[in-house]
Amino acid sequence: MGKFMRAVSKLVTGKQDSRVNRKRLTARDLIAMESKIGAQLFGPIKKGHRREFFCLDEHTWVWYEEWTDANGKLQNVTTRYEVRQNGILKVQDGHPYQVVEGDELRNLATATRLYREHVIRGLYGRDHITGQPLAPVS
Amino acid sequence: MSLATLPTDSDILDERGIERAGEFLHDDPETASEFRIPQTDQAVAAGNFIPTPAAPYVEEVDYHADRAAEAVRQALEIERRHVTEVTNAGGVVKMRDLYLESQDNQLQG
Repeated sequence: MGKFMRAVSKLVTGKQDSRVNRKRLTARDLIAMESKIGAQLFGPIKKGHRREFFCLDEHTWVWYEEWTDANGKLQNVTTRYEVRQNGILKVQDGHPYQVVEGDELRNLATATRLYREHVIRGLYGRDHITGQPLAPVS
Repeated sequence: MSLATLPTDSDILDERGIERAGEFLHDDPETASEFRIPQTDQAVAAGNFIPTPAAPYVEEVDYHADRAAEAVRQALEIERRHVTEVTNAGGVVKMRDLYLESQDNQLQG
């Protein structure tokens, strides 16, 4: 496990644990790490909010936002973006499917572009264009 | 058109000899195209021709609006393809799989 992965593990778990270095990471662990990076792509997160943004699989992006409202009640919204051959659909509980267009599509494209770059370089230690491992920093 | 109905000069021409000739001649489809251009030239020469840019102007605006809409559509299509590319194989998921594979190999080795 590289230095950066240890740093990310510390970020995720909140502690420096040498056992983490030997822990076998699952796809779920990796998604959680990616999401920590994804959540930062949209600027500072408001106090009391929790945000997740990650690529779930080869067809799905997930945005999750959680906060406490003025009445102290926990609120949350999960938005799923489904990438299909004929377009990108937005799915939210209680709402009909919507085709993502205009500014929202541009913003999603920018977010996925940044996500790809930051995650592939930062987490997986590869060049986001060539996919080749990054040269170690001397 | 019979001889009996042939118009006299005063029927055809107004005081400037222009407008009514055009009206009359345009009634006859066989002669209309032949005389339309001279009539227009005469009108321009007499300072009596009012250009009507509304139609071509509207067409031009429509043309630019269509092109702008097409440019936006194409730009959005590029964005859509980009999201698809990043999401599908070759993007993040592939890197995730590569990492897991590499981890398995290390643990086994």
